[in-house]
Amino acid sequence: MYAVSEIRPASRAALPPAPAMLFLVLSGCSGIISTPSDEPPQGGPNDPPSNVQTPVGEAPEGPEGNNTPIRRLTNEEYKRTLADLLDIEMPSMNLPPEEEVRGFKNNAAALSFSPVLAEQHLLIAEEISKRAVVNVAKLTGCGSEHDEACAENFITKLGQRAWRRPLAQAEKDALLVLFQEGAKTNFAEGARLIVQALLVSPHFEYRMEQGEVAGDGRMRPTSWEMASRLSYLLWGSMPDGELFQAARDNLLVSKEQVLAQAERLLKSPRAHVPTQEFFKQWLALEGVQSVTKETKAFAGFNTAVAEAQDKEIAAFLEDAFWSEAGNFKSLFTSRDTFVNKGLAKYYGLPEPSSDAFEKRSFADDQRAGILTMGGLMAKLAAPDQTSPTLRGVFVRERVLCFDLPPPPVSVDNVLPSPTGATTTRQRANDHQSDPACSACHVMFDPIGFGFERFDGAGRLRDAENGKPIDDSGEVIESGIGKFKGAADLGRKLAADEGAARCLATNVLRFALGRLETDHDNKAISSMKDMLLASDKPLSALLPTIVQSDQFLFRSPSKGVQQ
Amino acid sequence: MKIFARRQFLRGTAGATIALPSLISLTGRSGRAQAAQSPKRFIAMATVLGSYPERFWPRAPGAQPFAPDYRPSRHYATGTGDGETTDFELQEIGKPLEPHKRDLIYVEGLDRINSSGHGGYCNLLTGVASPVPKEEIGGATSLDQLIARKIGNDTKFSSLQIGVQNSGTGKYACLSWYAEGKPAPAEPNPLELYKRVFGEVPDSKGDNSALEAMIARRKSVLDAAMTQAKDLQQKSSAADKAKLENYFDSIRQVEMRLTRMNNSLGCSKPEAPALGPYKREPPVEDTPEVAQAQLELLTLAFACDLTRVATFQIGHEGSNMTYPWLQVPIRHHDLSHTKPDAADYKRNYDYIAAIGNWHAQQLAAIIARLKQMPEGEGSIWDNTLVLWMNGLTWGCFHSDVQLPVMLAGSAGGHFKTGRHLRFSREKDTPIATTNDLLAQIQKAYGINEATIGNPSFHRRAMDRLVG
Repeated sequence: MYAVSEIRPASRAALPPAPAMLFLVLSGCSGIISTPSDEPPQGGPNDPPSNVQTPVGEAPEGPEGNNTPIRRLTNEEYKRTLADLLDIEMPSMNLPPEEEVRGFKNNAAALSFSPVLAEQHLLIAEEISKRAVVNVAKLTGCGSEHDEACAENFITKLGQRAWRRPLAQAEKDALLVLFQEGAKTNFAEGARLIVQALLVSPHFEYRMEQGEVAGDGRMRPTSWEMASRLSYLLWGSMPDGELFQAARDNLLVSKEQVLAQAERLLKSPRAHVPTQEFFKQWLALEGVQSVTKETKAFAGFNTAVAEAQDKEIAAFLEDAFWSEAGNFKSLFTSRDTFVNKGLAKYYGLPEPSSDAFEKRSFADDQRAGILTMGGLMAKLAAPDQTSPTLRGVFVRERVLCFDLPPPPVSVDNVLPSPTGATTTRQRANDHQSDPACSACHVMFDPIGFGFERFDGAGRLRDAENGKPIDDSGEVIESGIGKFKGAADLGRKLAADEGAARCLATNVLRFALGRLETDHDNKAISSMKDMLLASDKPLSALLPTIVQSDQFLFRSPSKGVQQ
Repeated sequence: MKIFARRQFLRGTAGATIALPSLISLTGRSGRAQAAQSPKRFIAMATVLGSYPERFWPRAPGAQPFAPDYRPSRHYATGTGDGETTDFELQEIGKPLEPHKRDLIYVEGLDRINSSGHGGYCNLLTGVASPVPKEEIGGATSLDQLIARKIGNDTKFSSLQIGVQNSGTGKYACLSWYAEGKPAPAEPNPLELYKRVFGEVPDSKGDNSALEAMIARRKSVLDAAMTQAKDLQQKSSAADKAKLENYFDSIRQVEMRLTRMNNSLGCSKPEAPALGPYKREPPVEDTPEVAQAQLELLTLAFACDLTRVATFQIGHEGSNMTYPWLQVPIRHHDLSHTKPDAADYKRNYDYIAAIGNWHAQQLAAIIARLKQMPEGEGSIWDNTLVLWMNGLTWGCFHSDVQLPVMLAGSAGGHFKTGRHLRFSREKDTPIATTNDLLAQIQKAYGINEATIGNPSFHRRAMDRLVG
């Protein structure tokens, strides 16, 4: 069971004082009467972990709370890094999935090693090393002079790229011993051992940081470490040659130098890969392509539609994030979308001439950008009907960063099947008439009602079973309040402090691989202001993150003791 | 010299056949297992989304179906007080276990504590509450891992995590935990499991030099990695130290496997399952063949003494799994939400019972295979215990009381089987918990702890399980 105090914004900084009424309404949720209070509840389960106790309202600024542990490469980062490191065909990889924290797979605290993962990495390194030494001359650059000097040169070069920093002499020596062991068989076997050892090393698996003291006494990443911060944030992989060169020249120190490299990386199509990952994880888009529906409820919906809707969302987000016209406002208000032939037919849009995805605009005035994308509407629905609950929870949790308790144990929690006699809204209201249910459902069902013009398979509808649709809704406990239909909700979200702060918070979580603390208020606020105030493209979030103290510095107190 | 013949083919329900090895030799096993007392083994099998209590619990011969009480906190099954009988009839869900009826102990009347709906599944074997906050992973070392630490140190794999439509990660899918915050992933793909477990078992006995060279190379590489991790730990903050410790432990586990690999060198390598290939997880339509291949690999891993501990998970609490081969047209999750007063109740609970029956068929197949595998004077089965649990009791209520729980096997005579045990649900007696059961099971493997997980979740002693 959960207490009332658990329902509130995930980020304490975003919490407006809760009206006493809400506590009374919600008290039915758990049977526990909570004392209304102006103080945000302390130490509740939804507080992001913070090691620093700070009085509310006096949150210090700066990176002191930046206590991300060393970051293990995520599965995708691991694969991309290997592909960038060695010019060979990669073997197939069977990697156990990461544990997610608030949707994100790159949370450093949660990313762990297991014997299964270690074993897979060992086998992958073994296979890769085998493939790499097929052309041992190309790999090592040693030609026919198979001597130790050449091996040492190879260790120096590949080691620096694999561990993303120059190797210390002792490290090279240790690897040379390994080489000699293998070279008893032949030179290629020695080189193979080097490759394998470099890849299972903690220096490869983790993004190790030691830091150095900056001029003002603060700790900052070294230029080598900054090269990795930049490349993993913006490309999701190891640094390229230019970044390594900048690191070698120690030219990743000042904010301007870092920003200049960031802008270079952002121009590459490779920068689009991590942003798609961000959206996929933030908005829980993973299941969109495998949504299934009951045919009798949603004729015309099939696997091809689900797969096209998945691509549609990716194309929309690509445009929303990177195009000049895409910004925070259009993310929630745009009528544009991207369809291939089949999907155009499904939505009743003009069909593209080829099978490629083309930009189209919906003529109706019901659209709310990402929120009413067909694939999302279909995913947030039951197989035979819509689900105001799923849709409302989605907006509440993902778009507004509120935390909701899980459905309680031992209650009936599924909507009755459609009978044709009632609307979904009526059934939901009847179903939730029990105060024990409505106490919580009032937080999200009325949001979901606003999407009732979109059926359970992502198409617009005018009526449900011949009955007119009531799409009036309300977001209680927020700056949004009452609204009429998804488009109105989209417009209100596009101007909402809470929604902008929520996106900013999620960007920070993804960029830093950790949850926010009170110390991040300034960085989050400046991103939030940027989102609300300007018509800058969303991609401007990335340079903003790059210039934050969190990105440019390390915490002195948490630094490695030299 | 013992050689036992294998069935040439496994027939899938859908009519497909899987070619599996025709012969397996157990003669080459190090002899260690046979020389000493036969080792004990443990399997935890978990199914999801609740059961149909009326057709799960056995009844006295000729007894009428009990009058179900659907109140979520109650729904008694066969009675209310402590009870025990050896005279019972299996109902629809238990039917496939008829040939092994004398190997079973039905354990009725156990509650979970703080299991939080679908999220409770993850902590079936840990005995701790599932965390509500989304940033926390929670968990604790699970029963299978505690047992693996005790009895898994001589085999190549201290334990195996095997899934059918479940890869063991995520808060509705995990089951086995190395430690708090560290769930053990499960392998859902028989081809990958085969590669992992048998890939390095040599095809034929004789020349092992290539294998030995590979082992030597891996040892060098892993030793280097461990040295680097130790060096790094010296100069790291506390948080990073913990990360590196976790890395080091994982690498060391793999390194220890290399040492133990020699133990299995005498075991003949079975053929790979004739399935797939699969890009990722096998598609749901292949589930009957996948389940057969997975349990075949599990039992062969026992036979070759590659491991003595396994988890076997079918489905997960967040899945949209269907059972098309049972002609069930509705997703299991949607079925499980059918309330007892719903119009389609009867039809849907027939489906739920059919699914439960299919799960029991998998358990029956595991038992049958282990009974065919000779060990000492008897079979490997004599030294095995299977614990079968479900994440929920009634899916429609997300209820976690009076969980459907069954033990099969005696773990070398430790448990007295062939019984239906009931633990009281009367007001004056404390209601027994799954923690109580888990704690009793660990004793069978030499873990002399009175509690498991959260000590405050214990209510009653479970010595009645022991013969």
